[in-house]
Amino acid sequence: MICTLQSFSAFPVEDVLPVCELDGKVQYVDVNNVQLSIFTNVCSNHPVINISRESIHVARQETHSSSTLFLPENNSLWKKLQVTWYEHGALDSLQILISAPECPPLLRNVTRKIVSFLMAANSIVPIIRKKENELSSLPKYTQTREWKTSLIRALAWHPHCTKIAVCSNDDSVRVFYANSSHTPVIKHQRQRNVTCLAWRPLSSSELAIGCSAGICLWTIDPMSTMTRPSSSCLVVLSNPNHVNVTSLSWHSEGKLLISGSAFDKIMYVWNVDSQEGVPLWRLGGGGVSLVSYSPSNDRVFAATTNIVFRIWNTEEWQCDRWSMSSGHVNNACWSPCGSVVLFTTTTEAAIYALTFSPHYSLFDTPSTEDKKSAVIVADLTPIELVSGERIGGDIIGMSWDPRGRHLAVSFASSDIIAVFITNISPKIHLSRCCLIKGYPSEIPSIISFQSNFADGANLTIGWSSGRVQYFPFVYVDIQSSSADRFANESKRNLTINKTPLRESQPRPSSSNHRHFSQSTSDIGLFSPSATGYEDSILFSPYRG
Amino acid sequence: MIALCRLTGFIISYFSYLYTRLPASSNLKVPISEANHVSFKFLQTTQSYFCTGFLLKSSKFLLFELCAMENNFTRQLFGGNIVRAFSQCVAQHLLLLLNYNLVTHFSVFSPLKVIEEVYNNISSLKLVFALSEVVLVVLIFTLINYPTFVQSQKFDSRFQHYLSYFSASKAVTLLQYGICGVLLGFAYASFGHEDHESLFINCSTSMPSKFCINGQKLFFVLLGGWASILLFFRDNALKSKIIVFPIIHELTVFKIKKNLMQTLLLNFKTACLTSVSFMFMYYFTQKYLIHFLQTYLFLSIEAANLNGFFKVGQLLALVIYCTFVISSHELSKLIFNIFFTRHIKFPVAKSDSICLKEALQMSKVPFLQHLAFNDLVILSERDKDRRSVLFSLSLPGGHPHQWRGVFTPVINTVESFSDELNKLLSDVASPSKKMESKKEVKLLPTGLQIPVVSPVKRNFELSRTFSSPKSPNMRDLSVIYTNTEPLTAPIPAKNTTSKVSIFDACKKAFSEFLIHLKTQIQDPAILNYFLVSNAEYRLICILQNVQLVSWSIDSLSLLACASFAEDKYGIVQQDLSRIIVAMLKVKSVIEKLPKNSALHKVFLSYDKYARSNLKATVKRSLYRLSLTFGEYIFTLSLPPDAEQQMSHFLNFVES
Repeated sequence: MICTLQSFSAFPVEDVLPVCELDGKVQYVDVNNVQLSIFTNVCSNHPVINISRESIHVARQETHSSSTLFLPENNSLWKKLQVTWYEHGALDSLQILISAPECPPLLRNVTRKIVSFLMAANSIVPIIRKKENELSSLPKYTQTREWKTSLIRALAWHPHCTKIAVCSNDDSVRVFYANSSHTPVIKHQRQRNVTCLAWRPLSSSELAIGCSAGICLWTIDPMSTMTRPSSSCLVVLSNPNHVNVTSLSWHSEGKLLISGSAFDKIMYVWNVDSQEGVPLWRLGGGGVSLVSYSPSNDRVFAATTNIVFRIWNTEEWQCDRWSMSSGHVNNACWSPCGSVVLFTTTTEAAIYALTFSPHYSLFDTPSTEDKKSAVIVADLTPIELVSGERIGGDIIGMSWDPRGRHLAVSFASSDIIAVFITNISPKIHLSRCCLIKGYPSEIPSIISFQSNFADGANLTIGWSSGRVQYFPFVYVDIQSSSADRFANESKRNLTINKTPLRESQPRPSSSNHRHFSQSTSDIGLFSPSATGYEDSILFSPYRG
Repeated sequence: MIALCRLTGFIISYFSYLYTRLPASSNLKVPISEANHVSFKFLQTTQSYFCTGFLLKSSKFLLFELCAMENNFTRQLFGGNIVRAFSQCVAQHLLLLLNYNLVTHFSVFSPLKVIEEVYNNISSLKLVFALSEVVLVVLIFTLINYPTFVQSQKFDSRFQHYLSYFSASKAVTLLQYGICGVLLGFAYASFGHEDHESLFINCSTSMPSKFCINGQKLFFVLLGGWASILLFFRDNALKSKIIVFPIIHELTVFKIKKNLMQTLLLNFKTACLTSVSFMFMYYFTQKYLIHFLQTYLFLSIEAANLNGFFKVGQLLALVIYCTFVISSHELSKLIFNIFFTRHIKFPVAKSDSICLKEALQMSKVPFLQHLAFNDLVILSERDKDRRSVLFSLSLPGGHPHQWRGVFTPVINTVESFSDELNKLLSDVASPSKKMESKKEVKLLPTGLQIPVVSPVKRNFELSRTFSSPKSPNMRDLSVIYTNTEPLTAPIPAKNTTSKVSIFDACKKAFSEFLIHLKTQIQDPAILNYFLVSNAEYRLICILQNVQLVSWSIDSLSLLACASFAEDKYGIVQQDLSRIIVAMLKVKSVIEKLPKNSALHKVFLSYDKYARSNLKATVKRSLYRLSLTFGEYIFTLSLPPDAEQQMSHFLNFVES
């Protein structure tokens, strides 16, 4: 049985917003009085982040370009060619030559032939980089909704302490600390079109920023009171073809950094201390749009802009090649143990799971055939809630809680975030948790779970308005499994909740939950036929 | 083995004989003229003897090296690596040769002809001869490359350092490089343009003899030699020899494949410079070369016409040729590095082969020691089974022998590094003080000896002694006052002898020069400059272990963290305080090294990122320990300053 959005219950009334989940119960508050502190103080030390349009220097939109204010000048063809060559490159200058009326017909024909030859050659071996094309297609490969216009472009929690880096629309990155009003702003001329941020594990100060120049590695001294770290704190890791980096992932011990660019077929493994990068590539697939190191460091998920994605084994850096029928993988999350990876594609409203090490019960006998397919664990076909709100469809962002209990999903055409309860053992399965929405005009730009949240899981949502919301899932007994928690749900009273405004529908009971587990074990995790989604299982592995 | 070498030598000499008989641009065998017959015979004999002799000598040398190794495992590992690297090198060189053939014969207008040309070349005797040359070249490369992995060079004075440039082994290596270049030149030139196929050609009518040396081919061959010699100077004089381990352990095939194209592209620039420099050199030395060949070897030469090289196509061909020759050198170096840095799993417990704790102590065989430390890091990070052996107790007795065996050499490496570096820094800081005190004792009059006091107090006392108003912050200028020499400039003596012969003047000047030289040589400062242990060279000696120190720190912290869950008997936790203190010592000594100092520059020149790498490793390890053990760290008996530093790590405020 696969989890669907049908199982989610609608918001209790219209003018309420969910603010947290306390031991399995979602707490709602009135839209005019959103305060988390009335339920719990687990996020009381967290920084209040609200990026306003006034505080940043947002670049003008193309429609408001200053070029419209000037009259075109009649330059000579030679001058035009020079300027175009300088600003846009050789190919564009050839295009100018073709379109110029003063160009002799013979030269125009020859140029046309050359351009068509170059275009054909470029489709086989990319020799000409079209910067404009890259920048226009960049938003497709980010996990941020409306990346180009969103006030928040990227955010990243520090893996070990309460410190969050938020990138705003002007490509400046602000670092917010718990219990501190000091906010360093990281900005540099080369730091343009920021797509991703990643704090270095086992380090308090190093932040990697994926941008047009490659990787900007900043060292921000936590003891420093400087608000604008100087250029001496910056190291740029780049390669001529490895620009417009769209994804970064650190080795969990902070030794290596992997970077991928949607416009480069090669992904790089960097030793940032020696500023040395090892290129990794295999035939097939497009640029590497997404990379993700498993928490156990033994695998790397690498998605391409094509139908191909790869799972690299980090012992010998060999890969398994997987392919789909259409689209490309746009999200991937590893379980804390590194045995399961959940991913989504651009063409299907579903969450797939790939399991690597055996998580079978004693009575299961997994065959080799079972291991060769990915399985759908959630069907996110769009539905309309009772309240009239639509949810589901193409997935834009996905984040898995570091404890592996909650999975949050944001959609391309819905303003609501769906949160699932995940269970890895004995088999991966998802069940409904709750829905989260913002203020009426807000859309979720980016979602991420805090890495070091001691009281449970803290979903951090960057809204289109520039507001960053913390949505904590507080567990009373942090050590107990979610199944156990829910089993005891009815018996337990909330101790942290002081004045709940409204309470949601109770979570599925323990009996339901257990029944769910049993039913999934009957299906067989990797068996495509048993799931009833024969057509959806389109993945086939190939040892590359 | 010797018989095999002799057989190979015989085959090479036979083919070389056949090959030298093949004239250029012709399939016919043209008889050699009587005038040049002696020279031909001489060359053939030399070539065949050289091939056989060199093969024999080098094989014997390698066998001797192998037999001299301490134990069977090392011998097998070293021998195995050499064989694998050797065969891979031969294959890659042949591949490069074929690529060169393809590039030089490539034509846009007749692409099919290229295939025909390449097929003809592959199916001809040329390939066999090229193979023999490549085998020889690779063998020489083996001799060049193996010392990097089995010998460690340590010198701490300038004299030793400069002497190392003029050692016999360096001369031999230079010769080896030269021979390699010439042989590669032969191989590549014969696969290039058809005019460069044979060394001997029919002379033009103006020449007295019938057959001459092909000047064009000679030019290419000598260019190969020149490129190799330049590479020797670059590799041996400008760079320190370090065993570079890869960032990630990929399969060998992928590594070589990846580096093949990269090497060719990277060396293009070097090849341009080398070709141009050689062209200039050849232009000026051509006449001497012709004279030498004609006078001593009785050979005529058709001089290479350098005007052709000023055409773009010819120049490009020359640069491409040079790129391939340099790439062959670089690629073989790379292949040897790949094979000698492959991950080896050492058994933790005592076994028939060498075990981990033994390998960790083998400083005499650097590559083996590096492999052991590298394996220890991988073991600490990934291998739970082998870790469990480390955390086990001996039966009977219940002693942690396995842990002690590994821990002792690893912690010693870290501690000795920090101690040596500390000592070096204190030595560097102290000489100025020593010199100052020496100066004072020597120059001040007796009875005015200054007791050891603080500088401020001393200046104050001095001012009282000399009864002159002196600020305590003033510089100590007492030296000038106490000097017995007059302060005024000496009045020059009147020149009484008006006429002195030039001879006498020269004689006097020479004798004065000799006296001056003698005094200069006898000056202990100059002798000290060359002979006394130098801080910069001492630092280089210390830095040779920097990679091992980095791995040691990483593995110790990983093992300590793993012990939190896996060490049932608490073996590792007994040594936790020692581990933390050792790491903090390394951190402080690295931070103590002042930026912009001469030592820091040495650090950078040895390995640009060694300092930052080591610093990052130490911090990462300390963060790892503080995250794993948390507040438990303060229950260890750490020194107060160490506790304070660890609290920074616990609070994540250490940048």
